[in-house]
Amino acid sequence: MIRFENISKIYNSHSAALKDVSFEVNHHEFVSVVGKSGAGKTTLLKLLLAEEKPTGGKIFFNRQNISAVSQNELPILRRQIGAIFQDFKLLSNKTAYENVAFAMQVVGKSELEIKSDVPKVLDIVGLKDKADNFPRELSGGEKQRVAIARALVHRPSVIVADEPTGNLDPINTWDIIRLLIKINELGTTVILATHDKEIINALEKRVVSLEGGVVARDENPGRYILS
Amino acid sequence: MRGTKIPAGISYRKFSNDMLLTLNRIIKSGLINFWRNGWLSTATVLIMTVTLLAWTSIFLLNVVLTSVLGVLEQKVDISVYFNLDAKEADILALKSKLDNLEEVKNVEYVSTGEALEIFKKRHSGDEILLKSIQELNDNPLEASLNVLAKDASKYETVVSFLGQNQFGNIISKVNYAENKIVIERLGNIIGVLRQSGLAAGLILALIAFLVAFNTVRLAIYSSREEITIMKLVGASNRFVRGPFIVEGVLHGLVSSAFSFMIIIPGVAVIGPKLFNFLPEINLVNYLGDNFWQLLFFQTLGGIILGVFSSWFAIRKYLKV
Repeated sequence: MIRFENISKIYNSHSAALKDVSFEVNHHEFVSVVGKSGAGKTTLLKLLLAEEKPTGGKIFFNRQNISAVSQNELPILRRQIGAIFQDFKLLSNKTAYENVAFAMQVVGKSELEIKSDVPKVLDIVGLKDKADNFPRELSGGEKQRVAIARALVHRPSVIVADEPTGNLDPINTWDIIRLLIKINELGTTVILATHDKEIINALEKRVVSLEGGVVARDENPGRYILS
Repeated sequence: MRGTKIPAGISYRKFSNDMLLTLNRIIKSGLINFWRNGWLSTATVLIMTVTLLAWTSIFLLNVVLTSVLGVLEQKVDISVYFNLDAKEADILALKSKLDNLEEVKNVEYVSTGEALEIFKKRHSGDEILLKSIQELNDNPLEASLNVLAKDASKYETVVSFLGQNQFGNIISKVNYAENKIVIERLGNIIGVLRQSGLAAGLILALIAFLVAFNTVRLAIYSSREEITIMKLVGASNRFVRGPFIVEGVLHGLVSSAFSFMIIIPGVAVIGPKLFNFLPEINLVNYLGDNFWQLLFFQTLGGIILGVFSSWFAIRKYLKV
């Protein structure tokens, strides 16, 4: 489904963020990408969202070469991926409901579908009562749950989560992880980037370890192993 | 719209419905953002109001300056006096020749009889002078032609035309020589005022534009995070840009309304004062006669300013 082929990313001539990274993610898989800060996790996910272009190599998403996608086709690619970020990235002047509805508007869904789906998804993440709150009125955990609802609502085939629990306390962290597991069980591919050892070891799913920009290990099920 | 093709397998009806839905969402979102961005919208609208106010004031000042200069030019003319024995037919023949000159705007004939009437009227309080005129059997006043040129610099040509030998026997005097310096100086001043007024106006208008443009740029800079997020969620450039353009239109509309709310009382106060000073210029009437045109062009200016600034400022942040 997603294939990284000899990906390298060089920001400046002295250091490479990624060097010759190759691996594949299949449908319905739950893959964790782990590594210390600076190992290249975020860079990898940015390349997948075409936020940045690789210096070398190719990334395929459903057989489409992402680095060759034109500016016009880019939105269409991104609509197939639900993205979750460490800093939530919610639209600050829209309510929780509107933030989730925005993802559906972008895809061109009708008002009828929006009115029926958004409350359901907010209910799934446990925020039915906070629909009309603005992000500034929500806690960190709640914000991340809005972000997950937004990533889910248009039923993407893959969800990409970059350190989604990085800013959360342990209880909220497990809520978010449980949500991701549930989403995966319902058939959506999940790629989770994290440096949280506990989460990785409890998940018992496939783990791709990055060290200094290269794939050090790729095991299923894997564990978080510090080198 | 650029880059929009009807995708295969979708009927035209569905396609146009989708376009309408998108447009509807863009407009709604723009209105909501304008309202929710409260302070930012207020600041932008105020700056744009000042800009539009400057533009319209510069325009009105230009109108006033042009009419002041016009009035001044009307006051500059030369008079040609004729010998008492000059035949009226000769004078009228000269008048029609002057009328045909390209440089001449208007020629007015004052006969000896009319000159006497004007003299009597002007000195109606002066008994001695009037009596002494009556004691003379003949009318001592000369007939004259008052020549008004199209502009002050053209008098030289008119005078050299009058200096031709064929008119020498009937013309007694041309008063240009006495007024020459004044006329020339006034001509220069008018020319300089016209040009510098235009230049100063354009520079001020440009500065006002840059201030407004920068304000919009800053407002959009503060939204750069949001723009990135929308793009990452998969919004097309059109869908991200649209609400900002709608906001730009709103900024223009509201600013134009505010600007006019200041201009109307402003003209009501300044207009009559100016009228007392220069009766030829009635700013209040001018505003009344041109109200809708002024409002239309000012609003158009505001909308173009708002839309152009937003459009231009957002380009940079769409490249995600």
